[in-house]
Amino acid sequence: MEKMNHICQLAPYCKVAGKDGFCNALCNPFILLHGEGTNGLWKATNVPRKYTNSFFHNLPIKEDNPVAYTFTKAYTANILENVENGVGLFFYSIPNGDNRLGTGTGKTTTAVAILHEYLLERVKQQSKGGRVIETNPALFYKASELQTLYNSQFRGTFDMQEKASLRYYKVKNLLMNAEMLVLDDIGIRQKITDAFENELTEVIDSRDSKVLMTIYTSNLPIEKLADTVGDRIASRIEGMTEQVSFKGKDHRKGGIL
Amino acid sequence: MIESQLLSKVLDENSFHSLNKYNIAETDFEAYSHVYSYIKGYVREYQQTPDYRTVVAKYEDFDYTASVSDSFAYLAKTLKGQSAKRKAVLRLAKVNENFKNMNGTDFAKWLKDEATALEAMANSSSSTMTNYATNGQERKEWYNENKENRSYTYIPTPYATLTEWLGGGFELGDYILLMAYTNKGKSWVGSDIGNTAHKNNFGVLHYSPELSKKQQVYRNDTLRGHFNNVDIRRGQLENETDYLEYLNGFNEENECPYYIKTMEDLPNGLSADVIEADLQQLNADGKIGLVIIDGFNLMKHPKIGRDGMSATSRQLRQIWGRHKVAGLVIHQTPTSSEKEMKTDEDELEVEIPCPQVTDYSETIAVVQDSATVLTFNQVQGRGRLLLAKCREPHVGKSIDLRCNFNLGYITEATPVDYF
Repeated sequence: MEKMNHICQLAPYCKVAGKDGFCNALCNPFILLHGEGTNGLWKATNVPRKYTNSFFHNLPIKEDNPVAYTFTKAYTANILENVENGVGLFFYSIPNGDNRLGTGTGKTTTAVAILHEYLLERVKQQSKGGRVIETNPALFYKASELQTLYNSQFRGTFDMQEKASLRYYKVKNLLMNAEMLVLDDIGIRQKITDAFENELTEVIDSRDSKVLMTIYTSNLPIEKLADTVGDRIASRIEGMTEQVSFKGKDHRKGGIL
Repeated sequence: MIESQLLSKVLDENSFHSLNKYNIAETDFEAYSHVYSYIKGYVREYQQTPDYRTVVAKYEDFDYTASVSDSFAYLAKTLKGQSAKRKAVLRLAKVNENFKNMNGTDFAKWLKDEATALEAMANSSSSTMTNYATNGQERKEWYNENKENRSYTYIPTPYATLTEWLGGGFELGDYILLMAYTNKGKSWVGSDIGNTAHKNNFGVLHYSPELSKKQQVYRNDTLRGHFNNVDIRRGQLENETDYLEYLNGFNEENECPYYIKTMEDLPNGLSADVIEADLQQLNADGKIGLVIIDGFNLMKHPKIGRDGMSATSRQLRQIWGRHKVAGLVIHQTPTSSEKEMKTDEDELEVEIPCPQVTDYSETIAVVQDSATVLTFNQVQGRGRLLLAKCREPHVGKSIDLRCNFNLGYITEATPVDYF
């Protein structure tokens, strides 16, 4: 039977990775993490392909953001306990002359690295007979995508609206219950509607009440966040997170030449 | 004569109280009611039956029969039947008298009441009941049998945790329902259960109307020998020699049968009557322990619609009990309930929702009749088997399964020491 260590994200930690009779498509942890190869919990995180290989060991922020790096190192060293205790994080940018919007500083990459580290630890935990995974351990969602999905309920034909509504409420339920959630780029839009603000408040408040861990990334510091998402949301985020700043040049710029 | 035989057996075995079990009273004896009455009085006084010589000496008309070989059940039932018939004659003896004395309406009413009473009497004599107040001894025997025969009356399932939750497995005589949405692998799970039963020496009668004979047989080979299912069908097995060697083990020496019946063997369709006839023919020696019906909706029901399905279900329940076999009925949950839940965001979900018994409204009788209901779902190799109904206190629990049907692995996810 074909060995699976070349695609299994658990391989670096696994004693039987690459061993005949063990490392194959019948391995319990492999099926849990990857399904029949390209699915499972790994795909269910909704992490964009660009960030597939983001882990702590290859995190490219040490030079520009040594404090954030050290903090992340400490957080991931005890990640199961930190997430279970609902210790949330708020990653925001400090703009400078070269990077006036504070973009591309590694916030999302760091958030996804923490998400991946947690997911692997949870799969290892269950596989060893520990706490059973009953809902999404880790989920990534862009705040702007959520708003677009919310708005799609009111666009197009009746059938399209009905389908979009089903989708929206399913996603909302996942966002409210995932053990760890990365809500990316919150506050990116200039102003959100009152109706969507209510929805977002419900999600965030629910997670806060259930002591579920959330990582928010934003280009705005917490004191300015209220201008775009409202005071209620900003206040809740402040209360449920540790704030970590990111600075430096925009690493998205550069191109291939 | 039944009366003397029964009383002789009572005297021989010192078991007057066995008569209570079958609700036999003095009025049931026509010729020997006085003998019955004497024995009853003697037992009450001395807590044992008199010696037969004492009785014979006292009542010369008593025709004692030594060493009666018929069972108490047979003798008591026959006596009850005769007694009911005699009482009916006595009651009807008043027909002439009442015909003369009563007006038409009263006579008709009397006749109707008598007919009803006679029917009840006949029924009570033809069915043997259990008198809970008197069968403590019988229950002791049952309990001891349970201890001794536990492994022979419980069919282990392929999944250790489920077997434990079911208190040893599927009990002979039970009705088990396996429900799942379409195309999730319920036939594979059903076949896995069948093969595990057979490997534990319970004969299997497997109706598989959905598959061809070859498909069902190859599935069994895949589950038992882990031979690649697609490759068997194509004749392209890499481990062909192993397969041919494995097949040598299936020969006339095997005493425990695994009968497979597909549509090719059922030109007139599959009905409860067909199953009953098959069991009468194939299970005369009691070797069959499990009957699998893979596709309840493909059966031929006596009527169209819910009533027909309910009637079949009730009939099946009686068949399993009568023939002392566990009956596994595999049924598809209506896909409408799955479609209602399905959205494009499903791939983000990690839960594997199993159908609920309430999802099934086509004929709730199938759920009601079953002692055990299992529901199953499988997504991308991750399976979940939910114990939706059972006698043991584990309702609502589920087990995680790892499913690779093509290689014949449906295994419980057990902890590993890899990290």
